[in-house]
Amino acid sequence: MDFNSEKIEKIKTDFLIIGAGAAGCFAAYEAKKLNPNIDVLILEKAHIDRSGCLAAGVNAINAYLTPGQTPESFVEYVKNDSMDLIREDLVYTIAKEINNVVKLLEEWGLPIPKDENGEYYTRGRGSIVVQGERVKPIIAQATKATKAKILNRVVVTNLIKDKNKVCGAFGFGVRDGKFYVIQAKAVLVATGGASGIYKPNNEGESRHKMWYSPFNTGAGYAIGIRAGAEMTTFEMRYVSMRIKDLMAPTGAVAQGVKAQQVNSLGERYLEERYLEKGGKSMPTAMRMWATLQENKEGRGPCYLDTTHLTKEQAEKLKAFYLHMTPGLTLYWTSRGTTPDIDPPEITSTEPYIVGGHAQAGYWINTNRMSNIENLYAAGDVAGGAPKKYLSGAGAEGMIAARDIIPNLNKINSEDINDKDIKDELKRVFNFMERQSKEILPDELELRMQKIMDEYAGGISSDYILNEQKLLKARKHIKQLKEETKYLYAQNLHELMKCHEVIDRLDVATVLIEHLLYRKETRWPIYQSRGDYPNRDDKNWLKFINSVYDKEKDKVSIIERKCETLNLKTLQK
Amino acid sequence: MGIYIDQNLCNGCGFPDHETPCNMACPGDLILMQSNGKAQIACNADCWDCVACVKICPQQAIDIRLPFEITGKQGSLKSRAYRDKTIWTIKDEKGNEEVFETPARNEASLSTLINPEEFTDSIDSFKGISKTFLDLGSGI
Repeated sequence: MDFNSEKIEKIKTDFLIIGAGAAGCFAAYEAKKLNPNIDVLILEKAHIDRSGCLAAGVNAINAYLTPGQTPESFVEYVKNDSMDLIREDLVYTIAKEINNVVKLLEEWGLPIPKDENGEYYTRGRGSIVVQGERVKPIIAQATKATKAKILNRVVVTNLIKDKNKVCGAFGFGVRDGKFYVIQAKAVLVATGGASGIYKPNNEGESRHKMWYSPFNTGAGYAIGIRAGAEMTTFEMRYVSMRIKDLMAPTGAVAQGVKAQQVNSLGERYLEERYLEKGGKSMPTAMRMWATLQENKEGRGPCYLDTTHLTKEQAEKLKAFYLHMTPGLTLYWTSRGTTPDIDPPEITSTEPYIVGGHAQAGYWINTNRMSNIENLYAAGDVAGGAPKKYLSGAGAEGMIAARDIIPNLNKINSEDINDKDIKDELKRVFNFMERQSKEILPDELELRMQKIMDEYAGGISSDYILNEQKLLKARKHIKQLKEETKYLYAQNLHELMKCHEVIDRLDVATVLIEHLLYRKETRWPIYQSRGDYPNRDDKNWLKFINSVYDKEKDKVSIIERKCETLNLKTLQK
Repeated sequence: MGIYIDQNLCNGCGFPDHETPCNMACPGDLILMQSNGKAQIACNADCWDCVACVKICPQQAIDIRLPFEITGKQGSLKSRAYRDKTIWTIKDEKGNEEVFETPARNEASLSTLINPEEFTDSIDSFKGISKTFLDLGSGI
């Protein structure tokens, strides 16, 4: 294929949003509401109707202030679940917005069932039941109605900077093969986090039967890393307790029908064996640690006990999963069983790097601006605020838009110099030319996943990290990065896969440095150091941040204080 | 495997003049259009089972099937997205069927807010090869 200047498409916009997920769409909506005359452009790697995490739908919204809860109580809950290390300011500002996000979703059409008093059905104190098979098209429709411009099937490859100021982004069209040069006054990174860094639970033909979207490849992190954005808390990986094989979420079972975690002896092990650590009210990471412990001590497998359900309830549960993981419903039917007969077996996933469940991401201020001027982050790529989920991602998108829109007229749009355009065009399309040897993106991905699994605490190493293994991971990933120049793509889809694996390697590079630096065990399983097995608040109740220097290929670590807000003062 | 596209049912939805609904929907960019004008999945191992392409196929040519290594049985799931509801048909390997219906949108939004012309996510907006249907949201 020939990629010359005719392929270059230059677009000028006021506000560029990268990623048309919850964070990006809510940002576009809010921006257009504040000022319909500004030009908003969303770049989306897939199609806005069914992209990212929400492609299949959701059956709950897991960040919501149910009656009696307050933003303050939400902060306390998130803090406790995250072993005291969170950005309280970020979590608090999310908490104040999440119910508005849900209100909008319902206005736009999301079915949310209500009881006889007109109240939502709650699942625990921070969660409500929704029938969200169509949630993504519903959000997409509301976004299209704002007249924000949407460019689907564009893979963003890098941010464009002028000194310490962002002034746009590069990307290529996976359908049209065009090279996009977007000039913007402000940029919001709103992509998903990163799956596929570690070897997944299932292999071969089933490798993408995973919980988190396999198409969330860490691009949003990678473009920030390469641009020198400060990143935080990558070491708090997210490992999730899921229904085995299909890796389906457990909330509808655990909270929805109040199924207890039992081991193969039928013991409710959280209460019977781990009461001194908090039993059922242990933080999420500890409940999973306990489950792995049961397996190690010979009492596995563990289940979510649904044998108390009636036939009718079991059928309802099957239908309920159609809103989120329809494969599980198919699984039950194919196996000729129902959850009242065969309770779902639970297992833990490979580690993911996410800011929506855990808190890996851009280090941002309360307006969601990063250390790079006019560069913002929201949702899964925004750090410091775990357990934000769908509604929190939407909240962060709106918060960012509120800071960006009133300030746009003060920003000069910077022209992008031709050398930068030429260099990036070459870097992006180079993989379509065969080099002295050929490596397919899938091969490189498998190699990376193997290294990370074995040396950086994946499933096969029981999630345990130590310095010597991490140093090996560092060495092997560095070597692998040198091999990326031999990547070869025969078409645009494969070209996208080349860039995805490059992005994942950049995320892995930063992740390893974070894992090496934290010399304690703060979040068992998420971050378990075999050589430093205890939590150490005296030395480590602080944030580990990093900045990558592209020229020197070096990650520098910065320590940042963990500050406690006076929530009572904030309320005023 | 992930999805199965019935080559007898697939009619290509007007490709190459239009982007097909399945091609539009796939979050992984996994649907290929073959030289005979019919859709095929590029790599089943890459499929996430999100069912987006299944729901929106006007010909109902697509279903999902779980890998044998996971279920040890065969079975398939079809799903049709309408404006207001989704109908699901699940078959086990003996051909026994289970049918489910789930709501897609709440009633208030159906009656007041939504312009039917703007639906790109349901098959009841699809009448033959409609340019409006295919072009919406596909760029600026």
